[in-house]
Amino acid sequence: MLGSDVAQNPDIKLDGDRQLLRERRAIERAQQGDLTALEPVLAQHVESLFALLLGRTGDRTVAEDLLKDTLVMAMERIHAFRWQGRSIYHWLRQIALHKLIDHHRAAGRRRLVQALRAELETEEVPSPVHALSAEEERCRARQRIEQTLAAIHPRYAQAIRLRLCEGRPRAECAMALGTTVETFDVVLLRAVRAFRKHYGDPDAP
Amino acid sequence: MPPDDRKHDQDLRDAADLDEPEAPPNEEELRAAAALRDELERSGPPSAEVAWLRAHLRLPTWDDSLGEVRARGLARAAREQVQARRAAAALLAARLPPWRQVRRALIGTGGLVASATLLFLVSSAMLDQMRRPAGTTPHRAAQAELLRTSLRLRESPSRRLDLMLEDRLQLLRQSGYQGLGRTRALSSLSGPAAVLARAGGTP
Repeated sequence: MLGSDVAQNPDIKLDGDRQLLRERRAIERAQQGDLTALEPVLAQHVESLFALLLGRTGDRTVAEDLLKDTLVMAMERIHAFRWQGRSIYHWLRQIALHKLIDHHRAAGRRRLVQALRAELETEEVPSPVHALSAEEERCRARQRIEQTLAAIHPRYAQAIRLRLCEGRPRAECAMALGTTVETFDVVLLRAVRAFRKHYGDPDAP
Repeated sequence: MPPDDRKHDQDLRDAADLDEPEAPPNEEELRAAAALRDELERSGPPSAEVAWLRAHLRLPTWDDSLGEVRARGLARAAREQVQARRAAAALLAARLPPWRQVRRALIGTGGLVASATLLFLVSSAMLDQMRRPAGTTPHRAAQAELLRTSLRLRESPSRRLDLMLEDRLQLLRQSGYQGLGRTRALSSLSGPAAVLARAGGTP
């Protein structure tokens, strides 16, 4: 994780501080009208933002569209950004999550909207000043899946891992659970419903 | 679907959350389980349910990256889009004659809000005017004269208050309110309303 690496390695911290200084100067130029100065700053954070959005949507096309909207809004509203001593990535991340909320709201996914709003309100400040790396965002996405699986019955979680995550055949999954194939089908159905409900999907049947 | 069936289905869905994975299935679950099985084994485009599952159970990996070139391209595209929008807006504003710019402002959001506010104020004033009893405006002039006379005579504030109250009561009586009587103390008071009342023969 970037935070722990920064704490342990002073060279990384120095590089990070230099990066922040470059960011700040570029933002000041952009706020004075030179939007070209903001390009490299945004490009630097594209991977992390994409990892965030892909982890929340699971769809590459949707994630790219939301990413484009995020970048455009950041360019349009850079004049409203106030430097607070930490990377602009956190501001960009907020914009991306709001775009995600709009996307879910348009699709009627109320529970996901509520979950995202709660996350925005209670989001703890990460490693004080530095941006999250793409790998950190992917870790968060994996954690979300793991947390949802941990919240449902262990047998349901096992059925989902075997059949959906690992793609094993039905017969193999039934054998692993010690049941018949027909019973496994029902267990998987219940597992899927439980997973969707705990994930916050209002379309859960 | 009748309400009872909906509740029954909800009970079934709630049962999925209970620690009873091996509970005997009912008809609905058997049908749904078979449908899910078929969808998972189908090779064509996935159904909405399967697509959702695959999307949200997808563990992201480092392969899911855009690459540096694509990242720079997206940032550049965003900048170009914003600059193009601003240029188009500036060009449009420059081409409009002044009167059209004013017209655009008036029919814009700010103009509409201002118009609504003005309409509200005018209608409030009109309604307020309609609610006032007849003769209010001339009465205010008479009331002002009453006050000036009392001040000139250097009457006490309590006396002035009595005069104002009596005047107000007279006005109400004239406008048709019958619930007020005259006391002996009020009968002795003088003032424009009292004079009018005596002239009209009203006790």
